Amino acid sequence: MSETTTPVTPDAAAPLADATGPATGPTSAPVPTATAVRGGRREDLTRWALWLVLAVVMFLAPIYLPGEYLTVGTWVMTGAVGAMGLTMLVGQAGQLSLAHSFFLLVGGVSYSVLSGDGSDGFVGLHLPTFVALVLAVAISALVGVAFAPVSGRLRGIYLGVASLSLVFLGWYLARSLPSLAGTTSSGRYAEDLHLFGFNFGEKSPSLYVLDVPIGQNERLWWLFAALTAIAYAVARGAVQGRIGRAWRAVRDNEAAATVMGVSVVRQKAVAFAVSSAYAGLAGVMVVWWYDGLLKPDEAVDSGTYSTTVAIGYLAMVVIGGIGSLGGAILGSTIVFGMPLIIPLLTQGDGSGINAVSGTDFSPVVITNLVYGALIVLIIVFEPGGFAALGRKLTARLRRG
Amino acid sequence: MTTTATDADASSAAPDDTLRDVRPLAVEGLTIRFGGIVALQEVSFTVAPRTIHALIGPNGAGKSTCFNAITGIYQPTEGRIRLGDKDLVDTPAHRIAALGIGRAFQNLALSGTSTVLDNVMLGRYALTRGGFLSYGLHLPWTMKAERRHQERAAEICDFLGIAAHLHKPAGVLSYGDQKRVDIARALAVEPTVLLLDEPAAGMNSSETAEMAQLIHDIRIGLGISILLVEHDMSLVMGIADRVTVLDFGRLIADDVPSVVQQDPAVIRAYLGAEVTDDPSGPTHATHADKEFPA
Amino acid sequence: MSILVQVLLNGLGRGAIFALLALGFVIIYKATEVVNFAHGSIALFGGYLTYVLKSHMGWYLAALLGVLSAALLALLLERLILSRAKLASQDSLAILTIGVDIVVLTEISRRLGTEAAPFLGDPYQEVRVSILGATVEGPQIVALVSALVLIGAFFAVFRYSSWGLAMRAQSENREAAALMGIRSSRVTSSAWAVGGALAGIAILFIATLPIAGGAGLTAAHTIAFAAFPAAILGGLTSPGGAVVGGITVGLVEAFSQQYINQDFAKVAVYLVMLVVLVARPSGLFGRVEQQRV
Repeated sequence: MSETTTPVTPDAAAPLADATGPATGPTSAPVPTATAVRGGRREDLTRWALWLVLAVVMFLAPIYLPGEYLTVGTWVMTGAVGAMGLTMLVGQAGQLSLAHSFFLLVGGVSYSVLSGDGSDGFVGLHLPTFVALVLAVAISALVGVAFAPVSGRLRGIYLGVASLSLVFLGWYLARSLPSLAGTTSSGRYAEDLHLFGFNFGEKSPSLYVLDVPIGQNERLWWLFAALTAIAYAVARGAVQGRIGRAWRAVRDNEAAATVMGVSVVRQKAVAFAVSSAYAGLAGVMVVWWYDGLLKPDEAVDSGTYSTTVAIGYLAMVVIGGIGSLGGAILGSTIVFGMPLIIPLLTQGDGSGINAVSGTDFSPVVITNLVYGALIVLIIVFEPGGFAALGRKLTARLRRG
Repeated sequence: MTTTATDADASSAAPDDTLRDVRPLAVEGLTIRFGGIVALQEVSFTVAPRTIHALIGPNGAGKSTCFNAITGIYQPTEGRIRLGDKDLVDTPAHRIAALGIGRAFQNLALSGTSTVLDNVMLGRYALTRGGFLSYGLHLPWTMKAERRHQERAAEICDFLGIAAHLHKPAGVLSYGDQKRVDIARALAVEPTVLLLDEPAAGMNSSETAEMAQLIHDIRIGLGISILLVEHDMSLVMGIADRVTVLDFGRLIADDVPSVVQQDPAVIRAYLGAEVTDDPSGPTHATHADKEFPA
Repeated sequence: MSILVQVLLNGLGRGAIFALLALGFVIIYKATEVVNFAHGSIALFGGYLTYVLKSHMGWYLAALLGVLSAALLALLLERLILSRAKLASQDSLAILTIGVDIVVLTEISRRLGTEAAPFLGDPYQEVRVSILGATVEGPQIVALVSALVLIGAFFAVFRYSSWGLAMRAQSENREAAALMGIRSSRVTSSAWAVGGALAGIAILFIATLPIAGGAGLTAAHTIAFAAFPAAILGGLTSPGGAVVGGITVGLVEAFSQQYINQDFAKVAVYLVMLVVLVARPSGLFGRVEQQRV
């Protein structure tokens, strides 16, 4: 190491013997830097192995799990995709947004309009479903970019509350434009995804794997698992790379970021675009999950595209660990998974979400109490969320 | 957003045998007003290529304002700043790094939770290409370029003696090491002019001597110009080729260290009085300043 | 003409209620720089207690206890939870209050369940007055009068009492104020208690038929949510701004409801807030915070 430990006279014309100045030729570049930069081979192998195991598990799950559990899993995956987008915006780029459920709506409406066949008085462009999916995501991204300039004017909580306006706006527009978003009474139905002739919404399947009919539930599981995995891998690559660095610089010190060459305006726009794109994708997944149904909410604070859901997404991000992609997935498992899994585990008859009124401790009530309390506990004791807890745990295991 | 990653120009990916093309940094008639306050008034000086140029002055003299103007954070009310023949005032702030101006900060401005390597790699931002999709899809040429840039960043860290901490979160390092991370990041820009904002702040005399040696090594090793703001006179007088003195936003001296040390205007600025033999002479203090010329 | 007066009076009545909520919200923010998203739940908590107690001990005593309990909940939130979150940034603390809001709202909604007619305005619910050809309901009158009295009293205290001075000093510069001998924790706690009390008072007017409709107390949280845009557009550091914001929100709601539709009224408030914020990022009367490079 070129630690200068002896005081030296400033008049020395030559650098110290072991100071490897970058201009002194390639032969003096120390060999260790290349390997100092790469992670170890072992870490790479473990990572590949884990991915393989995960892929096998996800592939086999529909074979062995009953349909009701699959629907819980697919619902959690829609939340996971959305939450990964939000954690990039809030955690990496440092822009607080409470508008996530608005972009879910944008994605869902765009997909329904683009893929719909134009019957029943609804607007439909009858594009191939895969094209409609890609375009719906792109449209969500563009709408996100349109909102991005507000983040140049507002910061922190002000930006968060301002973004809440979008949820209200979306709620109002959806209710006012039934030909696009569906009627408030019965909604509208969107197309299932067809990929190379494979229908992901197939209700009477002829495909069998290990004697298990691969119907809609199973196919949706595979589709969502693939989408979630891709979303995760892409996000991870970006966060670890140049974009992630730029975002974190914008988050920590905008002036310093600018001095390093980051265009703050541009990177905020990119963050909003990416986050909205993820939310748009989640929105399309939500429509598929509801069997193709897109329906405007009755009230602005309850329903699929409500302020409550927007806050729920923020909860996922905080609980998982702000900025952590794995944490976002964990957060979705808690916030979106609990209300659905509790009735399955307690009653076993899998009747789905019980719309319980009265003073029972319904699954929704329990979930709300749990994640509300978790938010408080995490911010007080471990602001880095479960991701930080996980890191500390692995560090301790490695040492001990 | 999806531009492909091109190789950064060759001189930044591999150690260069040829010295860089260093132009003079000329500050001409720089005036900056914030409302009614005049932070800088017609300041002019030039950082000659490959020299170490110190900018000194009592607190509030406008040194940091000057730095901020050079890096585009403040817009001058009047005046020009030129790097060679490139006008920096006309350049958008985020493009100045690409012109070869690297800056280390007074308050470090590091990301404490990110690793040292990650922090230094931010300095490579202007030298790299690639948006969300290039990195997200792990495009091979993007990944290869990223690897090369990381190796260069590691080299720079090695030069600064912090290579052992590459993968540690920057926040756990000592203050002195964090300062080196900050400087490494500025060097990662592959600058022709390096701006150091109070590099010896918070250091004792032996650490300051190390810093002086480091600055000297950078100038010799990379052949670049260094402009530093500093309070510590031993550092300044020891290594600077030229010293510019500011006081209340005005330039009061601009010469080699030995001349500046003797300049009565400079002494008055620091001590608030004429240095005379008469002990009962006027001694009104204009600045509460601890440091004064050696 | 009488429709215009009616809408105006409706708007002012609701606006007065939002002003009370927004004022409590701003007092808390001014003393502690925390955006208290649990404000609606604190109000709901006080209202719930009033509702449960009023059949046992009469309305007036129940209302008093409700207001005090809201103040107490706010105080406990600050003392037991917020003061322990030392690692958190201001934005994180705001998110923390969201968590509290979720817990309190869920629990109280659960308890209210499907209670029939959970209303709180017993003494004045049935009252109706005619002004300039328009009908003004009891809750609105009482709300307006109470708001005037309370806001007036608050401003007097804020300007002329030593507590008000301490609050303003702490809001200006916490460290300097502490050096001057102002006990930061005391100012903070009292601010939260006062904020909570104001919320507890506001709920007495919200959970009435004319304001909350048939759902009464169960709709109160949603209605109280409009206090956030009110406070923010007025400027989070300005009590005067809170009042202006509250009245603005009330009027915007009333006029949108009358001349466009019910749905749009909810959106209009947020759009107005968005426009104000983009034009003046700290709200109408707030102050911009400088960041040091």
